[in-house]
Amino acid sequence: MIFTVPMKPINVDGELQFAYSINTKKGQIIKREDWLEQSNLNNVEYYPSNDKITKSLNNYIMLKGKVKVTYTWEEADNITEADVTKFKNLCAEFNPEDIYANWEDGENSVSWTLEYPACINEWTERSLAWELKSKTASLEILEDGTEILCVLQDNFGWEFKNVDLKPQESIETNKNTNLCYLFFGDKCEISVPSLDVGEETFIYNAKQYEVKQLTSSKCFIKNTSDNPCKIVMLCKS
Amino acid sequence: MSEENNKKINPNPLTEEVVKEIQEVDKDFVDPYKPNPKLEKQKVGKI
Repeated sequence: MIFTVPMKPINVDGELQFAYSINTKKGQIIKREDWLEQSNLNNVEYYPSNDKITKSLNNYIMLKGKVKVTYTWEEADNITEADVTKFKNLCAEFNPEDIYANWEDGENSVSWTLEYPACINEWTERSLAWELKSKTASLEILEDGTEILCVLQDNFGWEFKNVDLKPQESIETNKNTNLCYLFFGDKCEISVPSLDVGEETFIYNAKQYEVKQLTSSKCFIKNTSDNPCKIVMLCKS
Repeated sequence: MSEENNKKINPNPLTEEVVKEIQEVDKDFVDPYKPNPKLEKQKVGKI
């Protein structure tokens, strides 16, 4: 494993470890050097009709900046052009950011570059859910100050959702599972309407990179920063 | 991991088994693919 991106980890209630990057520089990289390195391999899920494509076991989410993601394989991986095409099609179907990505085919590799597009307008399942079962995969920082969130889980099975809010934009957010955590990519204001008849509203503030547990059934999140802001939700029944 | 220990164990690929081998000679080594159990728990605010 190669990991040169400086990260600040937060252990949340002993359930999850959130880590956000600090002062990243162009050229820093996170790389798995072998598919077998990954944790939770016994939970890996293959795409129904293609065993060269799996559900991703990593949880990297770009918050700002520009990155390049590269999958590289060896002959033993037996990845064909048809597999790569299928993978690209899945990215186009399930990743809202894909239309902003620049794809590049290499010899035994495929990569894409992406500048944070802030294009996810409603709560959506995490992007990059599917990936190639290639020997190596890497994420390279292409721009100083790029921000990455990495979430590690002790117990497998957390669902990831995310949304991008423009400055002053709000979104209704519902708690659908027993455990629900919210990570705020920037400053936000959270309004929680009371269930009482008096219609009182409780206001909370979240700092940049703060994590809060959503215990109310519903809240409204407003981006109070001057930049687009990604909010990440982790939930589990 | 110290340079001396690094010579005894090849950390590439860094599989779970290799992590266990490293931790036998270097108890402070943390598996980068898993939450660090030594990290202090942070209580988060509820909303």
